[in-house]
Amino acid sequence: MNVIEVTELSKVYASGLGRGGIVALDGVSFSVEQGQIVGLLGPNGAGKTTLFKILLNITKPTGGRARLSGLPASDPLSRQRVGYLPENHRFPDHQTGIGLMELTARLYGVESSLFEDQLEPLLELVGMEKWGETKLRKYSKGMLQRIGLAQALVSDPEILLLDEPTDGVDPVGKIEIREALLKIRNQGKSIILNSHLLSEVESVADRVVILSKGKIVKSGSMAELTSQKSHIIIEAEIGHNIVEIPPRLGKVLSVSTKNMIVEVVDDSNLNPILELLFLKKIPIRSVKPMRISLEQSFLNTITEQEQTG
Amino acid sequence: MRGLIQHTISELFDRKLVYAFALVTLVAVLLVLFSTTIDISFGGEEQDLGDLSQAMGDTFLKGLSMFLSFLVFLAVMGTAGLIPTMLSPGQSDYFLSKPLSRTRLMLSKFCSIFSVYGAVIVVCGAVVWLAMSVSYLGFSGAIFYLFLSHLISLFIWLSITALAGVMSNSSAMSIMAAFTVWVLKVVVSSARAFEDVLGSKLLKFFLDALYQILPKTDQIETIGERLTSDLFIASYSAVWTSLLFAVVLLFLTVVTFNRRSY
Ligand SMILES: Nc1ncnc2c1ncn2[C@@H]1O[C@H](COP(=O)(O)OP(=O)(O)OP(=O)(O)O)[C@@H](O)[C@H]1O
Ligand SMILES: [Mg+2]
Repeated sequence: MNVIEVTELSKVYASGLGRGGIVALDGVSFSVEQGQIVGLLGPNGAGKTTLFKILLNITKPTGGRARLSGLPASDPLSRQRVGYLPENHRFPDHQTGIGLMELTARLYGVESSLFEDQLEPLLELVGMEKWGETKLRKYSKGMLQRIGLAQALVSDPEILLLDEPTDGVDPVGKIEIREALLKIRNQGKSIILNSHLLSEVESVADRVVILSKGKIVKSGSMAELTSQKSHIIIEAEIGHNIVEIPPRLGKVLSVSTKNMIVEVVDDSNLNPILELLFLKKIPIRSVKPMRISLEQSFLNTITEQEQTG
Repeated sequence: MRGLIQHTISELFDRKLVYAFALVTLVAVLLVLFSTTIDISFGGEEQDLGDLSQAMGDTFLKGLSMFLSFLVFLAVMGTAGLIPTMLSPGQSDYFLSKPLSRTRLMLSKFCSIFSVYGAVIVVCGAVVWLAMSVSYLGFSGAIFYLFLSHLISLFIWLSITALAGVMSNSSAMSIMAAFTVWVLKVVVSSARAFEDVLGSKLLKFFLDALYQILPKTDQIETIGERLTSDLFIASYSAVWTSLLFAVVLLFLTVVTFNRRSY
């Protein structure tokens, strides 16, 4: 089931007195399945935060539709099972940590007894059990971020929208948050994670959507994004054999006695290349696509997109 | 709603406004006690006690009414920033992402402000009233009307700051809006006094229209005073028209809020 469905969403912000405006989103369509962690990536100003705000009806779209749990975003009920950690949040800072959680629970209509049961585990989850009674104005940035995550979880959400959740959090906290996210996902909940820390996204996300200048420039499973299909690693007992590959099939990028990396022109050319090895009676151990880091994949996508305009 | 009421109460304490209310009340109580000792020292045996008590009652009533008006003024100034704060960048995301319709969120916030500050005004007023009762026991349950009229007046002023707050997102602007309405009220009513001298039909029509549109909080408070003293009220139209004004403003507030992007 799709818990989030976005169709042809666009948003143009009016730009003061000038004509036209800032295009923040330009025909964005995608969906999120239940139980998935989706990483939302993109350069600054790509429209990631705008997308979140439209999903929550904080900002009205210029065109297109957004649905959460089957309900249109304009229906308040669509937000009942959604937890949100805003970017650059400024929670009412005269509240204590627990006060903020309680206010959040009340706004979601969570029953008091349920809230009492949840409070301790949630504070523990984000490592804030000692700070619950302290006013938010005395919190450090990372602490605010942690309590922000805790308040997003108060309503036992099915969908979590997290806008840079580990911004300002120390390395240990980042690992704790990552583990918490995986735990939440394993409970069958869906998370959209908006983050500039690609290694973090790489370690938790099942799928990635890359936005740039308001458009989706790439989306797919983590495996799809980090495999570079045209580059194949062939593990084989090459020894001192010389393998020449005709240019119409592909190109040898590097070769050693144990393996070779080949750039194939087309997937269908893989078999003829392997046949060349068979003919030379070279035993083949494995054939797999070469993996690149998410970071590399992201950079490739963005530079490609900038070159094509 | 309960969440927002608690939130509004904690805002009240955070802004140290409670202390302002407490201080003003303390001063008023001291003034009352002080003035009654003078009254008693002046009160000779020969004077008609009925007359004296009547005069004292009138003075106290007027004084209490003025005190309540001042509390309303304090509350309006003190709360003008609450809605803009709720809608400020970073905080709006928090409130708007909750599963409440915009209409419900705004009306709940408005009602929280009205009930919390209304309660503070009633409590402070009651304290001063009790201080007055030490020397004068002439007030009946009709004092209720005096409080009620000031609560209506608070409701009207809050509707002005709410609309201005949602439209401008700025506390300064919403205070200014309340002031502007107040100044306009004063200008219009003094200009109307000279209407006949001014002569122009158009101007007269314009002034009358403005007078009818603007809320008549002073008249409402006077009605409250007269009801408390059990005096005849010629017309309640000031109450209805002003309440209508406030309801229209609240309606516009909600409509504006529903259309906004944050
Ligand atoms: N309230 C607003 N008024 C006008 N323009 C806006 C507003 N909010 C965002 N924008 C513009 O919309 C575009 C997308 O902004 P958005 O905040 O969605 O980017 P983002 O992907 O979240 O960036 P970042 O990674 O820096 O957080 C930007 O060009 C920004 O200038
Ligand atoms: Mg952003």
